[in-house]
Amino acid sequence: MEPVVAPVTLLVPQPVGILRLSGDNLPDRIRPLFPALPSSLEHRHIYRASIIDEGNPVDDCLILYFEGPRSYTGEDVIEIHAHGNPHNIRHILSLLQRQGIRFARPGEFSLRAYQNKKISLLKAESLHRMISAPSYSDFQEAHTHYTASGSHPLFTIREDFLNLLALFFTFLDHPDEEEEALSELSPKVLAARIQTLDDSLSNVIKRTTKARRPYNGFSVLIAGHPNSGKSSLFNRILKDNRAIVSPIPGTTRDLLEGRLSFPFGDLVLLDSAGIRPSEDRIEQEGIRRTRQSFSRADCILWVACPDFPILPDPALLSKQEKPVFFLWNKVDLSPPSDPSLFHHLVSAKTRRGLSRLSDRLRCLAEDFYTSASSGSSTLDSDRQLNTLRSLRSAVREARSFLEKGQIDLALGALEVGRQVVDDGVGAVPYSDIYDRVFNLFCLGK
Amino acid sequence: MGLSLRNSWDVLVVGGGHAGIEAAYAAARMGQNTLLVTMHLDLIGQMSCNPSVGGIGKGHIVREIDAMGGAMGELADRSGIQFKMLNTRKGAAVQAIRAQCDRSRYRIEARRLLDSQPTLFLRQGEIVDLEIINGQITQVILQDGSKLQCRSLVLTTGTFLNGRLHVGLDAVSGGRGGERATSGLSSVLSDKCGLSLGRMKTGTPPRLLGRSIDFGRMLPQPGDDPVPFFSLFAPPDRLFYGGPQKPCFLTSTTDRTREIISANLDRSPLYSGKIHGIGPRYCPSIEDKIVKFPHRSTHHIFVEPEGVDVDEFYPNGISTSLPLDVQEKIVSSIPGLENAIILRPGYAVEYDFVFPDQLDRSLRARPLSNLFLAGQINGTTGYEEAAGQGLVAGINAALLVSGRPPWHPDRQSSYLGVMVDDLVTHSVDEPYRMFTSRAENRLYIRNDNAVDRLTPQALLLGLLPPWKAEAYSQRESFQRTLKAALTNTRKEGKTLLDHLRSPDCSLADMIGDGLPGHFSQAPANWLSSLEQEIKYEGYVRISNDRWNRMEDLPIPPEILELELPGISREVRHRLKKERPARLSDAQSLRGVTPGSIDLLRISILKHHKKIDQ
Repeated sequence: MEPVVAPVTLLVPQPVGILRLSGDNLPDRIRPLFPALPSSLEHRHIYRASIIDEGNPVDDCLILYFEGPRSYTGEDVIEIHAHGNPHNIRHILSLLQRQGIRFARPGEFSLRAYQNKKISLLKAESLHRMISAPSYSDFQEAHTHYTASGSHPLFTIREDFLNLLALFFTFLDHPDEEEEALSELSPKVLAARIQTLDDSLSNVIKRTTKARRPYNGFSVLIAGHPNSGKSSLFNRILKDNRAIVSPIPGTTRDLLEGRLSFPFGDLVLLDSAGIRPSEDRIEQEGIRRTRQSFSRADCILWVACPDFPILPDPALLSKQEKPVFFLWNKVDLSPPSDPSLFHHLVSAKTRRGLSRLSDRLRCLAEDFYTSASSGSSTLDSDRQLNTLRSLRSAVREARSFLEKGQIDLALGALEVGRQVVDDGVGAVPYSDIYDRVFNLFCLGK
Repeated sequence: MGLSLRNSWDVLVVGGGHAGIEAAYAAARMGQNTLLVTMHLDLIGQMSCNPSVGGIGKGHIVREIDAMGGAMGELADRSGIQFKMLNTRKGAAVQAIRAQCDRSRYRIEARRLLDSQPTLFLRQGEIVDLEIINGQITQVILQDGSKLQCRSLVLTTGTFLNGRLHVGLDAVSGGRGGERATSGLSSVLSDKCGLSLGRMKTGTPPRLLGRSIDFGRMLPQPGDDPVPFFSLFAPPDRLFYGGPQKPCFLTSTTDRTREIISANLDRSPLYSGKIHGIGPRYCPSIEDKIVKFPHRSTHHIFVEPEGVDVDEFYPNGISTSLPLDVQEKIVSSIPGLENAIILRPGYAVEYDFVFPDQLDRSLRARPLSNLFLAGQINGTTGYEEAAGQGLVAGINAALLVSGRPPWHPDRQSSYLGVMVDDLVTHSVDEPYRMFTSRAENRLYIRNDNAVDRLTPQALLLGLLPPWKAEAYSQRESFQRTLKAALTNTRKEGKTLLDHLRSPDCSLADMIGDGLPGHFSQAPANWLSSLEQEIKYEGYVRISNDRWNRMEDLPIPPEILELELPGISREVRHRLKKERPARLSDAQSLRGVTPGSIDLLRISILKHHKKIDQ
């Protein structure tokens, strides 16, 4: 396919900056820039060559070559290691563009790998999860899925589903009044098996929704009245913890997002600068929106201060099963009239009370990750979650047909599920299901 | 011209089994000069295995053959001694009829039917060679030296192709108990026709003398009342002998049976490595059942009558190739059969078959222009599967001769289509048997609506005599009238049609109560097929939608020259070589995965978009 390029390293000053290219006949495409490159490159070899632009040397580089199809994308892949000054890297990128090599779209390398059958969709998703995992244990789980796909919960579910299909095939294709092997099978048994599958589907779905947080990590939302000092608190906590504020904009336009990386996992701090509980909108709508952002976070810090000594509307906090802390900010100006109402008295300006607050958040985050990594495996992506949700609704439809004695329609519903599984996990030939029938039952006269 | 001098035929069918009968009968109905050559004229329509026709999946095929004007349903009806509707408690889509037949009566009816066709002739003889000129078969050569010219040839050799019979460790050449095999034809197919062949096996149980059986110790299995006949156009009003249906009898193996078999496995050709052919898993020998399921203490045996004039019974469930002395011990270990006398020993038969992915959807062998194959030669088992293919092959042999395009039964609307599609797409790795689970669209392709699905096609192909065409249009107009009545009659604020959609409502209850009583005088199937159509309508639409989503696009030839992203080199190579015209053709190519079909579909759609711009 047409050649593309993307920087692998951030555009910040650093010793080495890496550009990765993928496409057909790559060596010929870049040779005009690297006249010193030999006429034929060898797979998995490193070359040292200078970039020459209109006779002038630009930079001294290392070239790594992977010949297609023995590469990540299945096409020729080249990595250019140059000196990591951002201006230099930008210049090299523009030279490559002049050779007709365009910028890769986000995820395009993996897309090509998928299209060229180098990785499956599931592997691509595991890989993405590995890269963005908010904790090491999450990384490890994704890595297990990537390397040993049999351990993936989708595969276990698919196994159970195919076995269920096999039971239906057996039951419908053999007269039960004649096959004594079928005495073990009845609509009741089939219903029980459907229930078991439904349960394990619900389990994985529940576990995954719990583990896959909206902000990809343990999140703490700073809320409160405008001008109560939320943003200064946000910046101060991040700065004191030497956080790298994510260059990616927040998940919603209303929130600013900062990420603290601890050994046990990430803490995502959210500044609800845009949330105004009761302004701009009618009261109801404001509360609904605030409630929504409250429910997506794992912990809430409510900020009050001398100018706005306001506690949140109790309706906002009802049924929020998560820690909520009331903070009194700007304590250096004046203390609250009733200190017992507040968990923490802090000052973003003087840092008073902040280290105690940070310690507390850190402990909460650590607890979250310890309890999340309790062994059972979870899904890698929302797409996988949707696959299982569609499968579950097909399975439930099958059960309701079964209850009405419409067994052929029940199998019809399961066939819809089979389509979902084929699309979402990978197609299974008829013979594979059919083999299960004969491993389970002694059939035929 | 005298018949003895006649040696030039439009369609020549080799084999007088269930595939051969349908092939010859179809070609003859389409007006072609047809000759059926068989090794023994008295054994046309012989049931080599158990004396029964139909069953789940198989009965569906019989109904489809009947809707196309074919033979099997009518032959079974005219020779049946017991009829049953199976799976009545599991939903209409998986229900099917099974008939026990009188073996000799079936043969007589088959012969009578073929003899009644003015353009169909029979000839006893064995084919030993084919003359092929420019990829076309021009004549077949019989063992007696005669040469018969033909414009298209249908081979239905069943188990006779290089057949070998095993009883214990002794093996003899043979196609069926007491009958000769054909030995030269296999090498003609492989060497001259370039077809690749494999080997399969199947088996039968010993047959028993009725008066030596103690039926008192077994459970009688009666037929259904009223009798569910197969035929949709002209079901008989009684059994051929006028009497009541004959029961089958249920008994089962014992611990002793298991001990006898375990002790003698070294004398089984299956377990001593003498048989190499692949057997059907759903029709296992009793040796297989004991070895593979050692924890099961008993296995069912159905003792089935062979006919009304003979005192012979078929113990279905103990197919075996163990030596005769062991067979005797097995039989005597079974309740009711303690003193049973064996009339014919059981045996296993190994035979050659042609891997069916060398055929196209008209069952034509791709290397030749006018050779069609049907039945066990394509790696299937069962009378019904054979007959269904015979019908397809016979129709296409006739179409070829008359210069018309081939007919491909459609997978979404018939079991015939499912079978042909499975065979030519996936080939076989064990004898192929029909199951309803093979049909993704099973909610639509039901036993009750075969006429609605296939008779219009049979009319176009010219397969139906005028009186059947007339019966079809009467049925159509009756159902239209009845449906209008259902739509126009309201009860409790809803139309009767809406009431009927619910699983608890039945059409029978409405007639006389809301609908005029005269509707009940129509043939039962006219009523039941409409009733099921209404009940399944909503679900069928859903499942058809799912398939329609995958529209069968034509493949622009230039697209195969483009770089097709994501499609592997092997698949691209194959597509370039075979140049399929449509996606469905591409799908049938070997090694072309569903994934690459999807990618191809996307490329075609993109290609169209580009052209539009």
